Amino acid sequence: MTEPVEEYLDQLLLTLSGPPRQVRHTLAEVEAHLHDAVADAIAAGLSEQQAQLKAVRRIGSAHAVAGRTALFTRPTAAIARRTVLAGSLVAGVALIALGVSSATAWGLAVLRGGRFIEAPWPRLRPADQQGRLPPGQVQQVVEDLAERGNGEGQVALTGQQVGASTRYPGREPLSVREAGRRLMRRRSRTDGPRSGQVSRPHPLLRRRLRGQAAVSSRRTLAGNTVRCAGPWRMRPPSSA
Amino acid sequence: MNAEKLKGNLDMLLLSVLASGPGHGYSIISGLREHSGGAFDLAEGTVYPALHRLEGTGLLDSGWEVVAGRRRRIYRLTPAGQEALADQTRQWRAFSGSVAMVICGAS
Repeated sequence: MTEPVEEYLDQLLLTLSGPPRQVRHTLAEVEAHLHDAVADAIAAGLSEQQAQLKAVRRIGSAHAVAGRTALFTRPTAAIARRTVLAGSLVAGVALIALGVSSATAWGLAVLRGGRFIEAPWPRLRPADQQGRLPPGQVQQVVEDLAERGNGEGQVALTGQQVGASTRYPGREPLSVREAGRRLMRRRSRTDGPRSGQVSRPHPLLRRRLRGQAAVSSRRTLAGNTVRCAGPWRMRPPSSA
Repeated sequence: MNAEKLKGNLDMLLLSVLASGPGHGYSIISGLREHSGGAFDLAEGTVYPALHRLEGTGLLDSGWEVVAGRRRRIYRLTPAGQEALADQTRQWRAFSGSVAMVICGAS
């Protein structure tokens, strides 16, 4: 059930402007008026809902009570003030978030060094005509992943280690380097590379590679994605 | 009655109602309606800006009191308001008498 009197008072509060005391007094005065009118209407035989509707209808628009036309009432000083306050609040929260992230970055830089933030990636060299990566490329990538312990790559490496331990419980645990090497040599079902060639790496590593390359070379992410995707999607010329 | 005609004389009518004693907004509006036989049945909300304006010009004074269990703003005439009412009443009588003479003479 709606409450016409309450809704009217809400509207009046938004419409009124001036010193706070004047606003409070006018609101209290009109509220008393409406309650009197409702009581009279109920005494005359109307229901509560009908009485409230009648009282609101008889008192007229909130703008009339405020003594101004609608054109000059909106936006009121109160609404403008609230807008400014809300904007200040949002700006303050944004500044705090910036401060917290800066402090976090600073802390990580102190703990892990500048490479954690900048994340320089070893230069990627393109594959040759047969789709072979240059010697040492895989090793370089894996070592870098293991050294920096970046999130996505680390998850993939750990997954590979756990998988190997589960499959071969009696064997020596897989080293991080070996886990990375296996990840990088994982064959794609669709690409069908020749034995000994590097095919599509694990998706987690691939995404990481693109991001690292974009940061390290200071080019656009899209450009780096196109540039770096080539060596890792290579196929033998015979199957292209 | 035409709202514009009423609006032009609203201050005098409000002062007249309060001349019989202090009252709050709702009672003033009710008194205006009853004393006019229902002819002055204006949008009730328009009375409050007029009351506030009269208070601002010093013709009315107001204070908060609890009446019938409810906190109300009670308006009362100031001496300046009494003088203004007397002056406006005199002018109105002169004006309405003149209008009556013209109407009666014409008819």
